[in-house]
Amino acid sequence: MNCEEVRELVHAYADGELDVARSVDFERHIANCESCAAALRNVRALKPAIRGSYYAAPDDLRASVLRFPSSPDGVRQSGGLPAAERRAGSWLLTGLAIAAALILGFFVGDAFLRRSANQNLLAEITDAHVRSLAANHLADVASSDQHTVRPWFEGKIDFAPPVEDLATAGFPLVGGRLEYLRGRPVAALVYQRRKHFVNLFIWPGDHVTEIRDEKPQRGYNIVHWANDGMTYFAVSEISAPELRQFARDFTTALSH
Amino acid sequence: METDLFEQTILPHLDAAYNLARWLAGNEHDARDIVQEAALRAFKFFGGFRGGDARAWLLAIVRNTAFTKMRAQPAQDLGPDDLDKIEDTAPQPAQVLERAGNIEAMRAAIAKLPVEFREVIVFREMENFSYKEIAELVNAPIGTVMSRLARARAQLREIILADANLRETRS
Ligand SMILES: [Zn+2]
Repeated sequence: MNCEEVRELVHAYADGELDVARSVDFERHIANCESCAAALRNVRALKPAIRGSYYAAPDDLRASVLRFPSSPDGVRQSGGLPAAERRAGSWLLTGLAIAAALILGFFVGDAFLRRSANQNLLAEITDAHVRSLAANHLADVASSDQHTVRPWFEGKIDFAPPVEDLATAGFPLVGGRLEYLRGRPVAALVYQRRKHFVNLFIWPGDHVTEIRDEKPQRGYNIVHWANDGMTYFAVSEISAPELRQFARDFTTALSH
Repeated sequence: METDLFEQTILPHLDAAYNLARWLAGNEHDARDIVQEAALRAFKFFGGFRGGDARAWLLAIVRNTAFTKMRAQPAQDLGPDDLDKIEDTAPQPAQVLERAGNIEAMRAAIAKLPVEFREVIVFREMENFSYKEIAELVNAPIGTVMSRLARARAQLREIILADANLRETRS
């Protein structure tokens, strides 16, 4: 190992990310090279002070995080406010919500409310997509084999989502997982397109709709369609035309 | 009871959540808002948490919430890699730090880093995540994580030295 190679690996070594063989080479080099040894000391010298720069959560924040008004499905949070106070707060909120709904209903009709429900769903779908990427939790069952992925859902959800590998169309199946949208479990299938991923969410629905673009959310495209008793939402960072192509490929594969 | 499970799973990582939010937002007020919002989202999506590393799961939500709130995704292109120009064997920052009052000097230096560098420093040095875990958290290849860490540390050293020199000339 020469000086140049050692300098490239000095961070990995200091972070304990170097395999044993290269660690041995690395140590052999710095034992005889003062300037590389100094480079390692410099990286290590910063570590304690950086660690010491940690900001612990203020105590009152800890308390207030526990004080959610209510969960989405109305379950009370424990801790925080006394129960009576929380109930009063939630009645007040409910009253306001009803008043707001009446006013909205009076002026703009329920189309607005429907639209905002749809908007919430799109936001949830986008969150689910982002979370699956960010937490690197794309699949509970990682397999490109539809005959492995399809039975995995049995007993986990009360419907049988259609699963198709679309590798020949350029969208290989990565796997499947359970996801929660609007408080109920749905099937999520994950497909890959080059370096990008498509999350396809499936649940039972009776409206038949053509493949259509939904409003993009935070830079992610969403395509929605429904047929044969199932509703589909596909979300991805790939372009809208590509995502529509994915939807067509999926539908075509199903009909064969 | 799911609520209790949520508290047991998530609350132990509240310091980590606040620390990350504090470093991304740059101030206490926004950091509090981010943690509150992220905790709500975590609660809402807790049904989708399938076990594994709860801290990484929560921090991914915090990071997402922070960037959404700040309406600034980290830039992907950070310019050419100019690591070669950095003098690795320059004066020892440890001694400089001691003179400079340590943690406050270090906090000031970290705060000056671009956010892409700041977050890898938080994940690596404060949270002790592996390169692979960091790559997953920031949606970048491991090689990118390594080069950001290297450049973050080089910049930190330069900022600390520059700040110390500034203080020296003033006093
Ligand atoms: Zn050397």
